[in-house]
Amino acid sequence: MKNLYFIATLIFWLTIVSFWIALSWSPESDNAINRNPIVVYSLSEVIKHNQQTDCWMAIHGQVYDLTTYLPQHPAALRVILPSCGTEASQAYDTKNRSREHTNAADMLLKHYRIGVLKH
Amino acid sequence: MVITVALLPTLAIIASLPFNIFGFGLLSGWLGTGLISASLLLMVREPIWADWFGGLQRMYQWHHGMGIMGYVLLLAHPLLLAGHYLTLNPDIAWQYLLPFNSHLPNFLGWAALIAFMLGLAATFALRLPYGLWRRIHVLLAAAMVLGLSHVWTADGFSFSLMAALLPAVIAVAWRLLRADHGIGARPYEVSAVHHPTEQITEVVVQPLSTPMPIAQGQFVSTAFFEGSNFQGCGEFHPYTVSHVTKNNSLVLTIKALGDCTRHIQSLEPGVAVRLQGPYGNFLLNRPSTPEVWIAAGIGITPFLALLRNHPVTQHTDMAYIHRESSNAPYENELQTYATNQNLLRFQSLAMANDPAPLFEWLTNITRLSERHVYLCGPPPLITLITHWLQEQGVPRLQIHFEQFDFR
Repeated sequence: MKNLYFIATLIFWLTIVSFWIALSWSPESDNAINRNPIVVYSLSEVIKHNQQTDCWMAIHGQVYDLTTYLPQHPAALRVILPSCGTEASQAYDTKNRSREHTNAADMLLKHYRIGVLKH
Repeated sequence: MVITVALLPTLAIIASLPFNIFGFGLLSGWLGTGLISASLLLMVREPIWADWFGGLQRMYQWHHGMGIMGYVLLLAHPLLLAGHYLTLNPDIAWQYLLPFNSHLPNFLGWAALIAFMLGLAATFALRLPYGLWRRIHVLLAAAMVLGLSHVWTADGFSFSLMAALLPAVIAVAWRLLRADHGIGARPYEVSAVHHPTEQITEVVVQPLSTPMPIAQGQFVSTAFFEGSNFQGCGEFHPYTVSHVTKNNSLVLTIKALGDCTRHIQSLEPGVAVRLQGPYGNFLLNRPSTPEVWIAAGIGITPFLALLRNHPVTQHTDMAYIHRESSNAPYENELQTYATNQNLLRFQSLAMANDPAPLFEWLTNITRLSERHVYLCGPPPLITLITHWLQEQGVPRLQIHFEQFDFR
């Protein structure tokens, strides 16, 4: 029991420190982010993509194709699915229960950007 | 039942988890939370629960085992969440590992992990006095509160959260009211105090209401309160009953090991006492085959209780290990029992750190591997003897012991 505690705690901190060192030494890169030419979409176009197999959302003026992300969403599918094909800024900011998404979620969202919303 | 309680938070959400590393990260978080929450139900010291588990010691082993497994799963939780995003973007992965960032659930989760680490480190790394150990152990309760707050701020109010929260709240309340404040404990009163040696006090307590049903060799959780010239520390501590008299009075044998037990040396008749228990069943329901008893130091008391009650009824080889080179507590009384009982062979062994004299004595016992061996003494010595006996071919199921400790 005692050994398990010490080994698990040691592995945990070694992983954290190793990750931090690797991240500090690696050159900054954001190449996974979608850098295709900016496409402008109207809300009426976004609304058409309102299904599990074709899910777009407009969030804070940006348009995202989250179809491939849906299976990875931490909360149940029924939580995120109603936001497909909508202007979902408020849902994103509050998770519909006054709770913010994490910094990690903000960073992750950039990977799914396909354009901007037409005003 | 405890396993079901541990799994309930996970079972309630498992169908909605994504089947990927992120999902396994969430799974480890819920499973860890459920295990730790359910483990708290095993710290309540209810004699009936202890009997279900085969003794208080085994119940505490489950408490420790479930708690540490829960802790390991909680450590894996942020690592798995980060691992999911490692190939996509290391910066995102780092957000899950970054200690104390501005996101409240992340902050609370880290605070919980650190509190668990420190609380368990103090529990495992140091041999602390019981009072200090108890206060540091409270840090683990704070870790549980922080952990459940992390779940609440991250995931909101859910059935899983309730399933993890309720057992923890019930267990802590039950423990505080029943075990620590003694609600339902039986009232007794000190009727006599003897001092067989400088360090040992024998306290006779008589029941003031229905006496506790107790067998010879068991122990009780005891708190001493006020007398005319005595102020008890009021905390419940485990003491072995070295004799149960015919009028249901109990003789508690107490060695001065800490502040509270040293204070008890000045105990006087008339002091109010409250008892919980009984605990400890390692000497109950013994088969009628030849036995070996090994007692070290104050661990002699459960065996003393058996011998004071009635003569042995099967061949019994008994070793009494003590540090004193002569006149160890109760040695003369034990020698008298051995002289008067043909089936009892007694050996007094004065030894410090080298167990060789004990092992030499054991090797002279005929058909040792067929004997049931009963041990009582400090945990490191019990572990040492248990390993040695197993090497000599004594099956683990024939080795019986109970640590008279509430940790």
